[in-house]
Amino acid sequence: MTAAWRSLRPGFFLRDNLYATSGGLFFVVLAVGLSLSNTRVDPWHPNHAWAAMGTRTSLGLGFLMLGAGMFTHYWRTVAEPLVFPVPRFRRDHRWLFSALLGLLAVFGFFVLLHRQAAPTGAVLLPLIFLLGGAVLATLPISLSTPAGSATRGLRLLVLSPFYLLIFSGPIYWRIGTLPPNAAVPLALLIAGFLGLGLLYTPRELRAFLDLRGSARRRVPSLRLGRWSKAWAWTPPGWRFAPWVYGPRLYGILGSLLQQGIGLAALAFSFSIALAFASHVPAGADIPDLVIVRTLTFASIFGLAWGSWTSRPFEWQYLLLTGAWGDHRETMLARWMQDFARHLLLLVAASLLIPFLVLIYLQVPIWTILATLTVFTASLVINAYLPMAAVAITGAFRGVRYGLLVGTGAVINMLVLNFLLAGSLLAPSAARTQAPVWDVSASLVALLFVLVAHQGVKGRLGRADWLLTGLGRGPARHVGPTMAPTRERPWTPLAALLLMIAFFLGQPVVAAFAVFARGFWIGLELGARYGVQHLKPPVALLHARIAELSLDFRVWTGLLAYILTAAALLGFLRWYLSREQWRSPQGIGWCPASTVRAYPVALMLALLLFGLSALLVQIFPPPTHLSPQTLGVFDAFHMTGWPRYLMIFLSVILAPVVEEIVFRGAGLAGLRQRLSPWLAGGIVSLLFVLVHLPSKVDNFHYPEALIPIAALALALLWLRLKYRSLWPGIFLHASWNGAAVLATLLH
Amino acid sequence: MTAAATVSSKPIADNAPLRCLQLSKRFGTQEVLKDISFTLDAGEFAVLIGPNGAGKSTLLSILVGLILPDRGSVFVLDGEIARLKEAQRLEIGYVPQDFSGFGWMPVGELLDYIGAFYPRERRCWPELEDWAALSRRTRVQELSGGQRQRLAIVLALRHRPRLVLLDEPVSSLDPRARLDFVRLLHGDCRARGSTCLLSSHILSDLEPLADRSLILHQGCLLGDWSTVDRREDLRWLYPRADGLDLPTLPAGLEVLTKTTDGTILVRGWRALSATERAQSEALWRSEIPQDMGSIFLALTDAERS
Repeated sequence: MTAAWRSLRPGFFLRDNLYATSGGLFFVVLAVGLSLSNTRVDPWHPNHAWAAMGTRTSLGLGFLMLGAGMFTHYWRTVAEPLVFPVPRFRRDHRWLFSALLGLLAVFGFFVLLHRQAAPTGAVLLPLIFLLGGAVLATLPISLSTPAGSATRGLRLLVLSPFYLLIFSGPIYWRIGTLPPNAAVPLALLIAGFLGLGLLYTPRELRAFLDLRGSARRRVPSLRLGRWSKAWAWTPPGWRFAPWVYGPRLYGILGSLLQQGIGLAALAFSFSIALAFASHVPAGADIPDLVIVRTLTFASIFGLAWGSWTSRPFEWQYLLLTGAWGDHRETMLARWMQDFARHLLLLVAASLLIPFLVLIYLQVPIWTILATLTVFTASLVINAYLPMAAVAITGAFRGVRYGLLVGTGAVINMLVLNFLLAGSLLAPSAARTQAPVWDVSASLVALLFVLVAHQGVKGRLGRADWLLTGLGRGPARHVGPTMAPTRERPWTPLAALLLMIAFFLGQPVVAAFAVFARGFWIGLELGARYGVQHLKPPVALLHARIAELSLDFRVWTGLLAYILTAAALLGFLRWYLSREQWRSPQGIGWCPASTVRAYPVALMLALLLFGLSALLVQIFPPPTHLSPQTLGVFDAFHMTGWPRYLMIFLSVILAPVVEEIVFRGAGLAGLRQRLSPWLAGGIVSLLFVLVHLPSKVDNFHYPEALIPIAALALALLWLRLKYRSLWPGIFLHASWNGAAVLATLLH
Repeated sequence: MTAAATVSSKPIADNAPLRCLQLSKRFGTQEVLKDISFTLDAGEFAVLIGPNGAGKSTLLSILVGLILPDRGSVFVLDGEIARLKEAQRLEIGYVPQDFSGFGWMPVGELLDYIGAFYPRERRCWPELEDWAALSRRTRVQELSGGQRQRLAIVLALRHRPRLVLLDEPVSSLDPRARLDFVRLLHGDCRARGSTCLLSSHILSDLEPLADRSLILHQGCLLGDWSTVDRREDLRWLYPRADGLDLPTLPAGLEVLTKTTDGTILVRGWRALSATERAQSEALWRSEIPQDMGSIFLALTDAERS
């Protein structure tokens, strides 16, 4: 027995076995559900938690998927002719998997008993789901029809009884409460079927039943030759148009259903649909509710579209037919454009009917536009999900691919549901926020599409299509013949843009944070009220969004600075070569030309302290500081992390980053065209401008710009005199440190 | 042309490692194997020859117990194939025609996993593993066709079984690897007295080493001759005189096949007396068949026409 245990190692069991993985996930859900056990209220049978939706879904799908995973693994291990003569191989595996299935059934039995189910139902239901799993596991094996055949997906209809059982309460209830004289024979029959599946693999069973002769009598597959011929005269882009794929609708659905994600998405949408269809809250606008649900599910069609068109063999066919020679990248770009074009057509086609329906229902036009915008965004995101997964994982299948697409689809659906509910279910007077939401939704969709598009192009352009799959690209130029890396150009324009990016990056990040906070507040309120089938009061929403806490402002400021700094440093690290960083003509990240530079920098610092002390005597700073506008500097008055982080930021991070950005990369870029002192002047001016908001807006002390300008000149002089950034960083750090010390002591 | 269906050069021995008696198998309406009987002795290196679709793979599957025959029985190492004991299973090695499973496993893990079912001292055959030269870290699905075949061979033969059944093991190997493998296997069979049945259509490498050739065509066993039989008992006869009528043959000779130009292949030369041979030589020019390939072609050509 010891040898057969090895086949249960996660690396063996879960690899290439999406059923087992998803079954495990459902088991996690089931475990969570069990731990929250007694707080659930069931819509149909209030006193019987065993029939509640949550138990039913997690237990049913978990057993279905795990059963399918176990049978898949068992059969794929045992069915190989080579291992047939291996002594004990088959027998040991048979015993092992029988024991596991038995344990699963017993586990299900106790779970249901724990939820106060009838004992007969507790015996019968897990067995039924395990049988469903066995059926599910046979399907890919028995799908002997060619991959392109349209009828292939229809065989999955075999599974519909099991889905009905999971998603429809009454049938589940009926089977779960069968009297013993019906339940026991049924359970024995099912156990017999399971045993048969353990004794023989599906292929052997078919051979045993002598189905070879009848295998020729297949359902005729859909012929497309005439259609393709009819469109052959059109420009190539149009050959993949929806009306050509239209007849393959079965195929699209079939391919969606055959992927684990399709099943999961279907199951999820079923469950939501039934949850909402089962009880409509009093006073709810039923057409609107129905439209929201329908549009939510309709967006899945985009997922089908994406999975269908990104199927590997289509790509490989296109790229391997040789019609495009070696122009792989051109071909990819064209294919991606085609995809986008046809997606537009799909979107246009799928918007038409909801648009007409909404017009007919006399929904206000702004609400219609908002609804359709949100729907389009979700549809497009769904359609590009498989592409994004290809771009990230570099594979067209597998666990990571499935998980990415599945998770993305579920998140997309949840967000869509909330947004649609916000746009369509809210009264029109309350939709003051709507354009922001809709525009941001479309922007997110656009951004996602662009990133996925470029990602796929990059990934597939590099991939080796011929033999080894997508993992490894064509061999790079290796060996001694490799050319030395060329230095990238660093122009004055780039330098200016970099400095502007440092200035603008912080408000942009802060704006994103504010937006995300508003989004989260909307989601939270929507969820809280949505549970009770109420619309969130708009006044409350506005009030919640308006109140910005001190914590939030300080953290946002810190985060904005750190993120911007990290992004710019990362960019420079990636873009500029090591030589450009190190040389005095470049950034100047090198030791000073003489060690004397550091004492000189210290002297300068003392001089600057004296200057600013004098300045304070001449222009006294304002005595009252508005706490609303102090921004990130409020962190000095707080305790704990924000304070330490702020000190770190002012004394260490800011000097380094600002020196690299201004007197490093900025100066280096401008010096390509301008004289050092003119370039230095521009840099210093920009440096002073960057400090304008904090001095004027936060401290109401514009006179502080004078020492800043002096500091800028001193830093520039150090940079040019000693041909290095480090003395400047030293001066900047000691200046900031003194300022921090003064603030803390004050 | 079923005259040769029951030819068998050896009496059926009770202790032979492989005996099959009157095997028949039918898939649907198609009769794949018709009444096949033969026996392999210990230490015999036999080749199963036949065109595509002759039933070679089905026959080997039945011999290893993967498929149950409709009629007939198979005895492996004195055990009925469907009820083999563990010790008897240990002595079988089977290389299927296409090895497509276990794609998700790395080669090394698969070797360890299957190896764990065998006794510790029978888990490796260093020469064979050196010959295969497989990287342990690669996943099986990433192997090329030839590498996959090497892996299947290593998996099936590593425990050095006494009965080796190989279904087209060398079809996608390169010539060097093919030659090395056949020599390795042949040497091992010789050294340990194990029995080997190998199906192939690449005869050139196997011909010099095979003790025995089984010719299968359209489910019938057309011939079963050892190398000695080929040299002593079989003869090509070319008519000395042109003419439509064939000269008469001695009574002991049996015509196996006849080509379009009048040449015939006969059996029973060994049993003829010297005078009978002289009589035949007057009418026919006799020639010893040089290799099994030509016999195989002649037999299957005749069957087709």
